[in-house]
Amino acid sequence: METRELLWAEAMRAERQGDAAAYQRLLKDIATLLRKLVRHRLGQLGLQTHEAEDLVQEILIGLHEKRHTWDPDRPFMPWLFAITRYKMIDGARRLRRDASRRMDLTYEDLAEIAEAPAEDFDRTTLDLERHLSALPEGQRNVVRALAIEGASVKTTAGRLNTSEGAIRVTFHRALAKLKAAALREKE
Amino acid sequence: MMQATDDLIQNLSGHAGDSGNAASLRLFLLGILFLSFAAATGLVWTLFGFREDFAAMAQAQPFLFKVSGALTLAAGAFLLVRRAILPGSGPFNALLIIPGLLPFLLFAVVDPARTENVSAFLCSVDICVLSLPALGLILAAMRKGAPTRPAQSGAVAGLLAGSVAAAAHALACRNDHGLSVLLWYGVGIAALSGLGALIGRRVLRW
Repeated sequence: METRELLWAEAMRAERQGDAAAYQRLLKDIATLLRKLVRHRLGQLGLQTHEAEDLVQEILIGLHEKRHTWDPDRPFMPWLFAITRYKMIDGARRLRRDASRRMDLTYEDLAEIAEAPAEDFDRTTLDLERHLSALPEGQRNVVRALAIEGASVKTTAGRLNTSEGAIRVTFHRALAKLKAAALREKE
Repeated sequence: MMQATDDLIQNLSGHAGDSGNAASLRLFLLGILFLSFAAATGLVWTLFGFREDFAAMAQAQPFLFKVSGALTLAAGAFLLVRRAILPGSGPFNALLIIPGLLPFLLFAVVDPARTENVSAFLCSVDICVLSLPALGLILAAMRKGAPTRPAQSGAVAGLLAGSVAAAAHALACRNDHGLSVLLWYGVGIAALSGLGALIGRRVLRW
C-alpha cells in the first residue's frame, strides 16, 4: 500500500504537469484494481457481474472529472477511496433502479407476449444486424453500446469522446430510423 | 469490454494537465463565503433595516454574543463544507460546531439585557429567508468539488448558510433575551440544515 501510495501520488503530480503517458499508466493500474474490487462486490450483492466493467468505467470517469479535488500535499489513497466508495454506491443504486424499470410490466406487455407467436430467435438477431447496418456509423456505434452491450450513457459518451447530450440525441434519432424501417417492413 | 475501458483511458489521458487544483477551489469557496455574507447583509438592510440604536447596540453585550456565536459557528461550518468537497482532506468532525454554540449558551445563562421573554418565532423565519441566497451560492459552489456524502454535505451547507444569515440578522434583531435567541436562532439554523440535506441529496450528486 505504501509504495503504491508513493507511485500513484507521483503519477497524479505528473498528470498536473500534463504528462499524458504517466496518467494513462496510472488509470490502467487503477482500472485493474477497481476491476477486482467491483467484480467481487457485485458478486456478493448478487448483481450481474457483466455490469462490472461499466461501473469500473464510471469510477474512472468520476475520478478524472474530480481529479482537481485531490490536494498534492495530502495522501492519494484516501482520496481515491472516497471517490471509489461514492461511485460504487451510486452505481449500485443505478443498477437497482434499472432492474426495477426493466421489470416494470404494463398491461400491453403482457398482452403482447400472450398474443405473440413463437419467435425464431436466429431470425430476430439477423434482422437486428441487418437494420443496424442500414444506420450511419455514428448512430450504429451508439445503438450497439447502449442497447446491445447495455452500457450507460455516461460511459458511452466517455468512450466515444462526446457529451452525454449528444449520445442521447444520436440514440433517439437512430431509434426513430429503426422504427421507421420496421414499419415499412410490416406494410 | 476491457478494450472499451482501454479506449476510455486513452481518451481521458489526453486531457492530462487541464484540470484546476484544490488550492484554487478553496480560494473560490472563501470568495463564496464573503459573497454570502454580503448577500445576507444586503437582504437584512432592504427587508428589515438595521436597528435604529445601531451604535449603542453594536457595543452592547447581547449583540456581541449573537454575532460572535454566529461567526464562530460559520467558521466551523465553513471548515466542514471545505472538507465535504475535498475527499480525503479531513474527517467529518461534528465537534467543530461546538465553539460556535458556546457564546449562545453563555448568552442564555448570563442574559445581560434581562428583557421580558419575547416570543421571537419570527427570528427563525427571518433567518431562513435571509439565508436562501447564501444556501444557493454555497450549494452551487460545492458542485465544483466532489462531495461524497451528498445529504451530509447539504446539511453542512445549510448550517453555514444559516450561521451567515444569523450573523446578518443580528444587525436588525430586537430580541435581546438570551434564552429566546438560543431557541429561535437554533430552530432557524437547524431548519436550514435540514433543508440543505434534502436539497443536497439531489443537487450534490455527480
